[in-house]
Amino acid sequence: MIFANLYNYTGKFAASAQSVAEAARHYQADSHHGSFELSGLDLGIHLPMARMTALSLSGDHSGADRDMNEILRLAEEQPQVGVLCWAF
Amino acid sequence: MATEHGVGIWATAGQASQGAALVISDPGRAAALIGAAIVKLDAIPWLLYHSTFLCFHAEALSRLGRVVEAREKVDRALAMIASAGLSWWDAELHRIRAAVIRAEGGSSAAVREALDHAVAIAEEQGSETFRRRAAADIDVT
Repeated sequence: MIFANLYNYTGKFAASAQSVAEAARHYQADSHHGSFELSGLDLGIHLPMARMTALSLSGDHSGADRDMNEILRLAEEQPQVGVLCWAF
Repeated sequence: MATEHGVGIWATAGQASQGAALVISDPGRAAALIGAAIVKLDAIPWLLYHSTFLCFHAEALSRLGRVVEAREKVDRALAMIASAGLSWWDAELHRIRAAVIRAEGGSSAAVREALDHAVAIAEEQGSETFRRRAAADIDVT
Protein backbone atom coordinates (compact mmCIF):
# COMPACT_ATOMS: atom_id res chain seq x y z
CA MET A 1 0.00 0.00 0.00
CA ILE A 2 2.92 2.31 0.60
CA PHE A 3 4.01 1.78 -2.99
CA ALA A 4 0.44 2.27 -4.23
CA ASN A 5 0.26 5.65 -2.51
CA LEU A 6 3.75 6.62 -3.63
CA TYR A 7 2.91 5.78 -7.26
CA ASN A 8 -0.34 7.73 -7.10
CA TYR A 9 1.26 10.88 -5.74
CA THR A 10 4.13 10.70 -8.21
CA GLY A 11 1.79 10.30 -11.20
CA LYS A 12 2.34 6.62 -11.97
CA PHE A 13 -1.28 5.55 -11.96
CA ALA A 14 -0.94 2.19 -13.73
CA ALA A 15 1.83 1.17 -11.33
CA SER A 16 -0.33 2.24 -8.43
CA ALA A 17 -3.22 0.06 -9.62
CA GLN A 18 -0.83 -2.90 -9.89
CA SER A 19 0.45 -2.33 -6.34
CA VAL A 20 -3.11 -2.16 -5.02
CA ALA A 21 -3.91 -5.46 -6.74
CA GLU A 22 -0.83 -7.05 -5.17
CA ALA A 23 -1.72 -5.64 -1.75
CA ALA A 24 -5.25 -6.98 -2.12
CA ARG A 25 -3.91 -10.48 -2.81
CA HIS A 26 -1.80 -10.38 0.37
CA TYR A 27 -4.70 -8.94 2.34
CA GLN A 28 -7.16 -11.60 1.18
CA ALA A 29 -4.66 -14.42 1.75
CA ASP A 30 -4.27 -13.41 5.39
CA SER A 31 -7.77 -12.16 6.08
CA HIS A 32 -8.50 -14.74 8.79
CA HIS A 33 -5.43 -14.00 10.90
CA GLY A 34 -6.16 -10.39 11.77
CA SER A 35 -2.64 -9.18 11.05
CA PHE A 36 -4.07 -6.19 9.19
CA GLU A 37 -5.79 -4.85 12.30
CA LEU A 38 -4.01 -1.84 13.76
CA SER A 39 -5.41 -0.03 16.81
CA GLY A 40 -8.89 -1.25 15.96
CA LEU A 41 -8.64 -0.21 12.31
CA ASP A 42 -8.79 -2.75 9.51
CA LEU A 43 -6.11 -1.48 7.13
CA GLY A 44 -8.00 -3.03 4.23
CA ILE A 45 -9.92 0.23 3.92
CA HIS A 46 -6.86 1.68 2.20
CA LEU A 47 -7.22 -0.76 -0.71
CA PRO A 48 -10.29 0.86 -2.33
CA MET A 49 -8.96 4.33 -1.45
CA ALA A 50 -5.73 3.96 -3.42
CA ARG A 51 -7.52 2.13 -6.23
CA MET A 52 -10.18 4.87 -6.37
CA THR A 53 -7.53 7.55 -6.89
CA ALA A 54 -5.79 5.56 -9.64
CA LEU A 55 -9.06 4.72 -11.41
CA SER A 56 -10.39 8.27 -11.15
CA LEU A 57 -7.29 9.83 -12.68
CA SER A 58 -7.03 7.07 -15.30
CA GLY A 59 -10.53 7.93 -16.51
CA ASP A 60 -12.52 5.00 -15.07
CA HIS A 61 -15.03 7.13 -13.19
CA SER A 62 -17.64 4.41 -12.67
CA GLY A 63 -14.96 2.19 -11.13
CA ALA A 64 -13.80 5.07 -8.94
CA ASP A 65 -17.39 5.70 -7.85
CA ARG A 66 -17.79 2.03 -6.93
CA ASP A 67 -14.62 2.17 -4.81
CA MET A 68 -15.72 5.42 -3.17
CA ASN A 69 -18.94 3.76 -2.01
CA GLU A 70 -16.93 0.80 -0.72
CA ILE A 71 -14.63 3.16 1.23
CA LEU A 72 -17.60 4.85 2.89
CA ARG A 73 -19.20 1.49 3.71
CA LEU A 74 -16.00 0.22 5.34
CA ALA A 75 -15.42 3.51 7.18
CA GLU A 76 -18.90 3.49 8.68
CA GLU A 77 -18.39 -0.08 9.90
CA GLN A 78 -15.25 0.68 11.93
CA PRO A 79 -15.01 2.53 15.26
CA GLN A 80 -12.59 5.42 14.58
CA VAL A 81 -14.28 8.72 13.80
CA GLY A 82 -11.03 10.12 12.36
CA VAL A 83 -11.12 7.42 9.69
CA LEU A 84 -14.71 8.29 8.85
CA CYS A 85 -13.70 11.96 8.44
CA TRP A 86 -10.79 10.86 6.22
CA ALA A 87 -13.13 8.77 4.08
CA PHE A 88 -15.66 11.58 3.66
CA MET B 1 -17.99 15.98 11.87
CA ALA B 2 -14.22 16.59 11.82
CA THR B 3 -14.68 19.92 13.61
CA GLU B 4 -17.01 18.38 16.18
CA HIS B 5 -14.55 15.63 17.01
CA GLY B 6 -11.44 17.81 16.91
CA VAL B 7 -9.89 16.13 13.89
CA GLY B 8 -8.60 19.44 12.58
CA ILE B 9 -6.70 18.30 9.53
CA TRP B 10 -9.77 16.66 8.02
CA ALA B 11 -11.89 19.70 8.82
CA THR B 12 -9.41 21.77 6.82
CA ALA B 13 -9.37 19.21 4.00
CA GLY B 14 -13.16 19.21 4.00
CA GLN B 15 -13.26 23.01 3.79
CA ALA B 16 -10.84 23.03 0.85
CA SER B 17 -12.66 20.18 -0.88
CA GLN B 18 -15.98 21.99 -0.50
CA GLY B 19 -14.36 24.98 -2.17
CA ALA B 20 -12.96 22.82 -4.95
CA ALA B 21 -16.44 21.51 -5.69
CA LEU B 22 -17.69 25.11 -6.08
CA VAL B 23 -14.97 26.42 -8.42
CA ILE B 24 -17.23 26.52 -11.47
CA SER B 25 -20.64 27.22 -9.94
CA ASP B 26 -19.56 29.75 -7.29
CA PRO B 27 -15.92 30.80 -7.72
CA GLY B 28 -16.20 33.59 -5.13
CA ARG B 29 -17.21 31.21 -2.35
CA ALA B 30 -14.71 28.66 -3.64
CA ALA B 31 -11.85 31.16 -3.43
CA ALA B 32 -12.86 32.15 0.10
CA LEU B 33 -13.13 28.56 1.35
CA ILE B 34 -9.93 27.32 -0.26
CA GLY B 35 -8.01 30.47 0.69
CA ALA B 36 -8.96 30.06 4.35
CA ALA B 37 -8.03 26.37 4.27
CA ILE B 38 -4.66 27.08 2.65
CA VAL B 39 -3.80 29.53 5.43
CA LYS B 40 -4.22 26.62 7.85
CA LEU B 41 -2.32 24.23 5.57
CA ASP B 42 0.57 26.71 5.42
CA ALA B 43 1.07 26.14 9.14
CA ILE B 44 1.47 22.39 8.79
CA PRO B 45 2.39 22.10 5.79
CA TRP B 46 0.58 19.18 4.17
CA LEU B 47 2.45 18.65 0.93
CA LEU B 48 0.29 15.86 -0.48
CA TYR B 49 -2.71 18.07 -1.10
CA HIS B 50 -1.27 21.57 -0.77
CA SER B 51 -0.44 21.96 -4.46
CA THR B 52 -3.76 20.39 -5.46
CA PHE B 53 -5.75 22.93 -3.47
CA LEU B 54 -3.53 25.76 -4.75
CA CYS B 55 -4.52 24.63 -8.25
CA PHE B 56 -8.24 24.84 -7.43
CA HIS B 57 -7.62 28.21 -5.76
CA ALA B 58 -5.89 29.52 -8.88
CA GLU B 59 -8.77 28.36 -11.08
CA ALA B 60 -11.34 30.09 -8.86
CA LEU B 61 -9.30 33.32 -8.75
CA SER B 62 -8.81 33.24 -12.50
CA ARG B 63 -12.57 32.90 -13.03
CA LEU B 64 -13.03 35.93 -10.77
CA GLY B 65 -10.57 37.98 -12.83
CA ARG B 66 -8.06 38.09 -9.95
CA VAL B 67 -5.31 37.14 -12.35
CA VAL B 68 -2.26 38.29 -10.39
CA GLU B 69 -3.31 36.20 -7.40
CA ALA B 70 -4.11 33.25 -9.66
CA ARG B 71 -0.64 33.43 -11.22
CA GLU B 72 0.95 33.50 -7.75
CA LYS B 73 -0.96 30.35 -6.72
CA VAL B 74 -0.04 28.46 -9.91
CA ASP B 75 3.63 29.39 -9.66
CA ARG B 76 3.72 28.45 -6.00
CA ALA B 77 2.09 25.08 -6.67
CA LEU B 78 4.49 24.30 -9.53
CA ALA B 79 7.48 25.19 -7.33
CA MET B 80 6.09 23.01 -4.56
CA ILE B 81 5.63 20.07 -6.92
CA ALA B 82 9.14 20.49 -8.33
CA SER B 83 10.72 20.45 -4.88
CA ALA B 84 8.65 17.62 -3.44
CA GLY B 85 8.35 15.38 -6.53
CA LEU B 86 4.61 15.04 -6.01
CA SER B 87 3.67 15.18 -9.68
CA TRP B 88 0.17 13.68 -9.67
CA TRP B 89 -1.53 17.08 -10.28
CA ASP B 90 1.08 18.34 -12.80
CA ALA B 91 -1.10 18.06 -15.90
CA GLU B 92 -4.01 19.89 -14.33
CA LEU B 93 -1.72 22.63 -13.03
CA HIS B 94 -0.42 23.28 -16.53
CA ARG B 95 -4.02 23.37 -17.83
CA ILE B 96 -4.85 26.04 -15.25
CA ARG B 97 -1.56 27.82 -16.06
CA ALA B 98 -2.84 28.06 -19.63
CA ALA B 99 -6.07 29.65 -18.39
CA VAL B 100 -4.07 32.16 -16.36
CA ILE B 101 -1.85 33.00 -19.36
CA ARG B 102 -5.01 33.60 -21.39
CA ALA B 103 -6.46 35.81 -18.63
CA GLU B 104 -3.18 37.75 -18.50
CA GLY B 105 -3.55 38.51 -22.20
CA GLY B 106 -0.79 36.10 -23.24
CA SER B 107 -0.38 34.91 -26.79
CA SER B 108 -2.33 32.02 -28.26
CA ALA B 109 0.98 30.24 -28.79
CA ALA B 110 1.84 30.48 -25.08
CA VAL B 111 -1.60 29.20 -24.10
CA ARG B 112 -1.28 26.34 -26.58
CA GLU B 113 2.22 25.49 -25.32
CA ALA B 114 0.94 25.16 -21.75
CA LEU B 115 -1.99 23.00 -22.86
CA ASP B 116 0.22 20.78 -25.04
CA HIS B 117 2.50 20.35 -22.02
CA ALA B 118 -0.53 19.35 -19.91
CA VAL B 119 -1.58 16.77 -22.50
CA ALA B 120 1.96 15.37 -22.75
CA ILE B 121 2.20 14.95 -18.97
CA ALA B 122 -1.23 13.34 -18.77
CA GLU B 123 -0.34 10.89 -21.55
CA GLU B 124 2.97 10.02 -19.90
CA GLN B 125 1.25 9.44 -16.54
CA GLY B 126 -1.66 7.50 -18.02
CA SER B 127 -4.18 10.05 -16.78
CA GLU B 128 -7.03 9.96 -19.29
CA THR B 129 -9.04 12.28 -17.06
CA PHE B 130 -6.49 15.10 -17.15
CA ARG B 131 -5.71 14.46 -20.83
CA ARG B 132 -9.36 14.95 -21.77
CA ARG B 133 -9.63 18.13 -19.71
CA ALA B 134 -6.56 19.67 -21.36
CA ALA B 135 -7.61 18.47 -24.83
CA ALA B 136 -11.05 20.03 -24.34
CA ASP B 137 -9.38 23.37 -23.58
CA ILE B 138 -7.26 23.02 -26.73
CA ASP B 139 -10.44 22.55 -28.75
CA VAL B 140 -11.78 25.93 -27.60
CA THR B 141 -8.45 27.78 -27.97
